[in-house]
This record gives sequence, structure tokens and C-alpha cells, in this order.
Amino acid sequence: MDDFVKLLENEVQIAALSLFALMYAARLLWLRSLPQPMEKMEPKGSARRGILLSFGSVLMPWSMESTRKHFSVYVEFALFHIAIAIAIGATFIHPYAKGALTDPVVYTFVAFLSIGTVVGVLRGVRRVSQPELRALSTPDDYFTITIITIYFPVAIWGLVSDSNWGLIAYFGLTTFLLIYVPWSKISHYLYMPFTRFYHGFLFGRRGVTVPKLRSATEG
Amino acid sequence: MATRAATPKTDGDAGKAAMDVLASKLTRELAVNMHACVHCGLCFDSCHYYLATGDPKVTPAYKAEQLRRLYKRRYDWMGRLLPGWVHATQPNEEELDKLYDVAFGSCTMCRRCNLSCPMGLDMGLIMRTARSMLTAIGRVPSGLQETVDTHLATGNNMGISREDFIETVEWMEEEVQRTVGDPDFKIPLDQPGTEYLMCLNPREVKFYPLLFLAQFKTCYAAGENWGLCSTAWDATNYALCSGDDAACKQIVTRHLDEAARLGAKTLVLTECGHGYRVYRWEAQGWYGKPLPVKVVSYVELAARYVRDGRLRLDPTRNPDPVTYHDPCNQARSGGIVDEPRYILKNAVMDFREMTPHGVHNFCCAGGGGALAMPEFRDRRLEAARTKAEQIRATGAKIVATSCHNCIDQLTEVSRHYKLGVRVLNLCELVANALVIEPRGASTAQGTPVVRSTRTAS
Repeated sequence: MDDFVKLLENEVQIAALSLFALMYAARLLWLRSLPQPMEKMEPKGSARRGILLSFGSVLMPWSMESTRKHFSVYVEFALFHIAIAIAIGATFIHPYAKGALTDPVVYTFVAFLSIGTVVGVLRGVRRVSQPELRALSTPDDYFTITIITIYFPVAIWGLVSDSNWGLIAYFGLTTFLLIYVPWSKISHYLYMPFTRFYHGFLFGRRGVTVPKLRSATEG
Repeated sequence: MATRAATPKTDGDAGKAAMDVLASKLTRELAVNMHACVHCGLCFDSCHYYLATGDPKVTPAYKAEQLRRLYKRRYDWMGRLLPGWVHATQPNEEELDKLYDVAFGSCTMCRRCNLSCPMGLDMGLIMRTARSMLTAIGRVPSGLQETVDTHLATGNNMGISREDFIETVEWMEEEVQRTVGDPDFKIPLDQPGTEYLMCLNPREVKFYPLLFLAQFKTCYAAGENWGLCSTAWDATNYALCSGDDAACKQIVTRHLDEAARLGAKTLVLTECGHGYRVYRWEAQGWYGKPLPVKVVSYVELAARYVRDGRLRLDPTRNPDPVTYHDPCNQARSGGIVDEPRYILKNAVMDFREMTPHGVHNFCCAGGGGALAMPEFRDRRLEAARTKAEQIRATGAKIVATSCHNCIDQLTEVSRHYKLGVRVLNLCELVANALVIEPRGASTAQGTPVVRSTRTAS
């Protein structure tokens, strides 16, 4: 049993990660092959400042109307993604730096993973109950929120349980996710740097989201 | 001259042709916009269609999804392997109908949702791509297509002949002479080396010539070196709205080549939202080389004149409360936000902002060529409810704006929602407030040019 856990923690994870990286590399190479003409008209604002603001807006909920109006959704987003980062991060810490998983660290992780589970349930309920989201949702949306919400308690089980079954479930599910993620909407984070870049470039350059270089009303 | 109206293609052909257009327009930016939506729902209440109707099928994400479904079937790994899992689908008749309905009937490409999207997606880009695909297969509202066809065939979107244009200009010349008290006033026409070449909206020429009279008065009062070109004066380009890049290129190229032939230095766009966006920001993509002229909006020019003291304005001549509607293509897609406010603060006594305003202003629901699509009229008026409520809340008697589509839509909205406001171009308020000192004559008062035809009760 111990050998199987070790295999799952190491070789299987590395293989899954390699496949994951290979698929993303293929996607990025494909994106690179596509043309991308950029606007060249004389700028009014600053593309660079626009891009910085665009990326920064993720950490500035007050900067977007949607996150101002729906602040609780923003908080959920933040907590959910912290939990994801912990759940994934712990799969590296456990096999390679187990000593770092002291009791306070584990309890902190468990706290965030528990909150992540609650948020996952809330998000799932909202997706099912809100007609606007239902009209939009695909099986991938429902599956994704379900599997990630399950992933959090499984991660807790793997981190706190003395039994190997907890680790087998945790690393088994991680392996599945590493293989599934590039096929699913979870891979949105691969595209987000691009979309945020283009958003910032457009609105920054045109002086929409950043102060204009030369306003007709200023000297 | 090529006629652009395409014959609607049959099922299989149409789907394939539409997807070929998608392939030809697939840039890196479009591809990431197709992949990155997480269906979070934060864009919903940024859309005036959704706010007015509450219909789950007009949320920005749902509308974009109608194109994504087709995209995923061809370009997404899961969409190709298990299409049902991500709702990927072939571009059959039913799907193209749905795409037509959302792309032309439920979105004005105002880009308000862009600013609310946590991923920073560009819904304007997505919807214009959908329109390009549909236009290429002949599924385009006939009114919109006719506008583009007329522009291609005659050089302006209302088919005004050169003779009629010159005649109208001469009439306006006499009007300016009369109102400013300067019998020597001339409208420079086809003059080589014109510094500022004015572009007009054919509606001004055909129906509301007093509007461009107001602009001419501004140039006269500022002592500007300006003029008109009798063969290239239409500021509009509705091919932007239909998504027809070939037509965009043809219109833009003809206009810019004529401006270059005259040796003009700067193109001054009349108060036209999409026209400004086309020439100020997007023309180079179609023109294929740097523009031979600078591009400026009348609003920017007028603000500069006020700032430099070249225009004397008397705000007491505009005593009624005024609010300003930001045209989406000028504010959100063009960065013109401060200038109209600066002008209004100098030209009117009581300026009131809508909430929200500026780059966050709601679309009037008349953008994206919506006024050229009578088949969606009821939906257009319903979607304007948010705007109507915004206007009503200001208590203003006058709504100023800087776009002809917005003017026409807001006038109809005012009637429909019984707002009892007058809808005016910015230049009309400026002309009203102008204190003109004609050359060689005694001081004259700017004659009011506010029209009664657009007073809605």
C-alpha cells in the first residue's frame, strides 16, 4: 500500500503533470500561430498603464462595477481560488517537503479548504437555481464545480488522515484533474493573461480606463 | 461599384461559409475571448437588454455563447471530442437563426459588459465577428445592408448627389452669412491645403442642415482654416455595424484618399459615434498604412477652442437643466469623456450628470446600427428603459449628446417613455451660446439654431 501511495505521489503525478504541460504547450503554440494585428493609431492614453490596471483590477474589487455590486461573489471567488491553490500546492509539499506540513500549517490549510467547500456548494447551488446561469451552463460547468467542491474535502482527508486511503483519494483525484483540466473550462487561467492584456491595451491606449496623455481640455 | 447584399445561402453552404469567415477572422485575441469565459454571471446586470427585460437569453455571456458553441465545435478539444459536454454544435439553420437574433437583435456592441467582466473579455469583438459571419452569408437586416450598399454606390449612406450636396452647402453659406452678419462668409469647398476637413452625417445634409450650420458657426467664430470636400464628406461607416470588413475598407480608403488628394491635415468628424471610432481608431487596419491625416472629433476641436479662448460662450443663453448622454463609441470605445463636459460647463447654466456616466454610461440601445433594423424596433425601445430612467432621474429638460444615432434613439425614447425632454447635439448648445464678433461688422448674437422637430413631449 505504501509503495502504491509513493507511486501515486511521484511517478504518476509527474506523468500527469507532463501531459498537462504538453497540452498547454500545444495550446500556446497554436495561439502563437494565430495572427494578431495591433492597433497603431496615435494613442490617447497609455497601453502600458492600461495593461497594468487591467491585471491589477483582479485585486481591486472596487474598480469594477460588477464586483462592487456583487462583493460577496468577489469574496467567494477569492476564497475559492485560495482553496484551489492550497489543494494543488499541498500535492507538491506532501511528497517533497512533508516537514513543512506542521500542525499549524495543516490546520490553516484545512480551514481554507473547508471554506472552499462551502463556497463550492454555494456556487453550485447558484448555478442550478439561477435561471440566467442555468441558461448558460453546460455539463462541463456542473461537473467542474462538483469535482472541485469534492476535491477540497478529499484534500482535507489526505492531509489529516492517518490512513493511506485518504492519500490515494487525494492524489488519485489530483491525477484525474491534471488530465481533465486542459479539456475543461478550468483552463480559463491559461487564457486570462491574454484577455487581460488585450483589455488593458485597448482601453488604456484609447484613454478610456487611464487618464489621457493629452486632453483637449488641458494645457 | 460592387453591390454588397449577399444572397442568403442554404443550410449546409451557409454554415460552412460562416465558419470560413470565422477562420479568416480568427486572431489570437478572438481565440482567447472564445476560450476564457467561465460563465460566472458577473456581466449580466451590466447589459441594458438584460436590465430592461430580465430575460436570461439576453445576458452578455449567453449571447456570446451562441458564437462560442460554433467555435468550440471546430476549435475546442472537448468540443470536438464530446460536443454535448460543452454545448458545442454545428452551424445549422437553427443555430444561425439564434446567432442572428442575438448578434443583431439583442446587442449594440456597446462594450459596457467588457468593463464588468472579471476576465476582461471583449463582447464587442465577439458580436462583431458573429455579425461578419452572418453578413457574409446574407443574413443581415436589410435596412442595415441597404445603408452600406448605398454608401458604396454613391459615396454617402443616403445617396445624396454631389449637386444636392453643393446646393445644401450654398444654402447653409447664406444662412451663416445671415446669422453672423458677415456677407463675406464662405464655406470653403474642395480647397487644396484645407487644415481641418469637416465630415458630416448625411442626415444633417438631408434632414437637419441647421446642425452643420451650428458646426460651421463654431469654426467661423474660432477663425479656423477649415473646409469641405464635395466628394468625400460622409463620416459614417455602417459596415462597422454589419461586420463587413471589405466594405469598411472600401469606404475608408475612398474617404482618406480624397482627403489626401486635397492635402487636408486633419479630418474633423461630426458628432457621430461610430464614425469617430472608425476613423480615429480602426481605420488603419482597413486602410493598410498610416493615415494621411490626423483625426479629431468636433467635440475635441470645440473643447480646444473653448480652452484656448477662441470661442466666447455665454451660458445664460442655455438656462435649462442639461444632462449629457455619452455615446458608447465615443466614450467607451474612443476616450472622449472630459471634452463634452468641459464644453457644457462653459455653455450651459445647469449641467447634471446621469448615474452612472462617462465610460460606464448605459447605451441608449440605438447603437450598433440598431436604428437601421426596424424588425427589432420593439426590443430596441424596451432595452432603452434603463436609459430612460437615468434621464428622468436627472430632472433635466435637455439631453445633449454627440452622436446622430443616439439623438434619433433618445428622441424616440423620450416620446415612448414620456420623458418630456429635448434631445440636442452638443453643437446646437454651443451655437446657442456663441458670442460672435463678425469680421468688419458690429457684434452679433448667435442666433439660436435649436430645432423644434426633435422636441418630444
